[in-house]
Amino acid sequence: MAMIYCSQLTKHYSHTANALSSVTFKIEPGEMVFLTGHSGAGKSTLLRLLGSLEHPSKGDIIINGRNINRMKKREIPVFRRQIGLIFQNPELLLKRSVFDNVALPLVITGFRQHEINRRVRAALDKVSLLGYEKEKPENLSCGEQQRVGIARAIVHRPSIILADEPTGNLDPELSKEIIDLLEQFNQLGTTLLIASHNTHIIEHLSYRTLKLQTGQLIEDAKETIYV
Amino acid sequence: MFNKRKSLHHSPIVHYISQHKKALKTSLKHFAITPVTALLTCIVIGVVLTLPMGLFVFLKNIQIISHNLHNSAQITLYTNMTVSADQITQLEQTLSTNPAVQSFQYISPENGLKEFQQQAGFGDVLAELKDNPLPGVFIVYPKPSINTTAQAQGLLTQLKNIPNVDSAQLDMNWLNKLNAMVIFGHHLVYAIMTIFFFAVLLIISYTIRLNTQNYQDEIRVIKLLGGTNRFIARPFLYNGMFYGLFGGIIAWLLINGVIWTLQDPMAELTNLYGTTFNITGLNLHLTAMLLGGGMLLGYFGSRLSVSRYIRNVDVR
Repeated sequence: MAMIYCSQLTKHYSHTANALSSVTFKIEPGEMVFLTGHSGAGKSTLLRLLGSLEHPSKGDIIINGRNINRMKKREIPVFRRQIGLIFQNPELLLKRSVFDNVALPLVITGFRQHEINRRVRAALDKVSLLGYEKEKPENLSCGEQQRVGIARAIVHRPSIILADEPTGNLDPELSKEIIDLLEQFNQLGTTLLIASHNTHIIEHLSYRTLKLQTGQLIEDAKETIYV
Repeated sequence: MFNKRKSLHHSPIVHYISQHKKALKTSLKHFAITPVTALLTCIVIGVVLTLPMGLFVFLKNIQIISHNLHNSAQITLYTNMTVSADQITQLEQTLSTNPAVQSFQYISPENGLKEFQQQAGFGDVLAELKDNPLPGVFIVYPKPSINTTAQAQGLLTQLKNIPNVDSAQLDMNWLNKLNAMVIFGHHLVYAIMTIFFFAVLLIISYTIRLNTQNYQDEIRVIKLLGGTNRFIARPFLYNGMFYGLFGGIIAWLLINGVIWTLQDPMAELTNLYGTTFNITGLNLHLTAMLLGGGMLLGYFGSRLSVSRYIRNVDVR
């Protein structure tokens, strides 16, 4: 069974062309896939649909055997707790400590305090930020903030991580660091879908690539799809 | 052999309680972040709550006074002009055996005339009269259990029918007027209460709305991570309840402060009339009503703004 299966996925906003047109693909469990394309190609829209932050206009999204389009409204937050979301802008709570930021998914889910402490420390250790628990994100560099965002995405050990331009604001060296980190999670069995327009990084890696152009999937791995 | 493993999650009930405890703490933190603004808001709510509640307490005291006046109501019986001394004794016996009569006082026509001469200042005119025109008078004090107009009227009818009683009089008119005024006052206070409670509702709703706007980013991120609307709303609902509670406490202090300052002047005033009256303040029941009502208003006020606001926060 595929971990992510999108069938004829279409999204259109009013008064604009389709942001996504009949996109169909499948991602197997434990795969690490890059989603590429120019700005406006539909990468972020696709990730938002997968993260149930938006509803598709047409088509189906089946994640881990569940059609998320058919989910009831109250089931969506529960679904979101099962995936890890990483954003270009890490979406941190700047007035809260690093610990509080990373602990947030666990607090929402209702973990015990001692388990929260243990997992937050482990996640921060993975992103090399152990010792930064009491810091405020506003005092951290962009790279560090992004790593806090990653720690928050992995702290509840999701089976899927959706990352939207996680290296977008970072220099090549830091970008490499972040990709290395994501690779480590993949090696532990996590399925990753990473949207990036940074072709320099992707071309050095041998992962499957989905390429979008004006909302259409034009390439899947090394196979070119003729639209 | 089984490996005993402690659950990572709380049980549903413990989870529910733990979420509420966290929301409570977060809500108190909101107060700690802007203490002056929070205090000022509580004072405003307190003052707004003080007016209707203070009026309610005032009316309650008026009601007590009115009740006391009912108890001091008296019935005047005028005897026939031709009544003899034996018949007066008989009348006295009848009255003393009546279970609704506390006590009575007899004023003979001679004593009545003397009093009238002294009080009215018509001494010379009255002295020229050949006969005493005044009848014998019984002033009857009903028992305290006769405390309604209907009961007093019943007793009046009963006494009127006693032989040798020419007429009987019960001056309830002004008491009835006072009662009507108290009832009117009650309705007025309820109307004012409704308006002011609505004002408290709006103040809290507006304050919480400003709070939610300050936490807009936080709300969005929590929604992104799978926080339910209820989870997000909880600290704000507690916030509203705290505003209501603290406002209620301020109102309680203000009302009791005013009563405390009025106690001595009231004691002096009532002393002049040879009686005592203690102003009744907020008893336990009214205090619970004030604080509980404040909290309820806070809850509904914050719910009014929070629910819709959170629903509309765009996670995109």
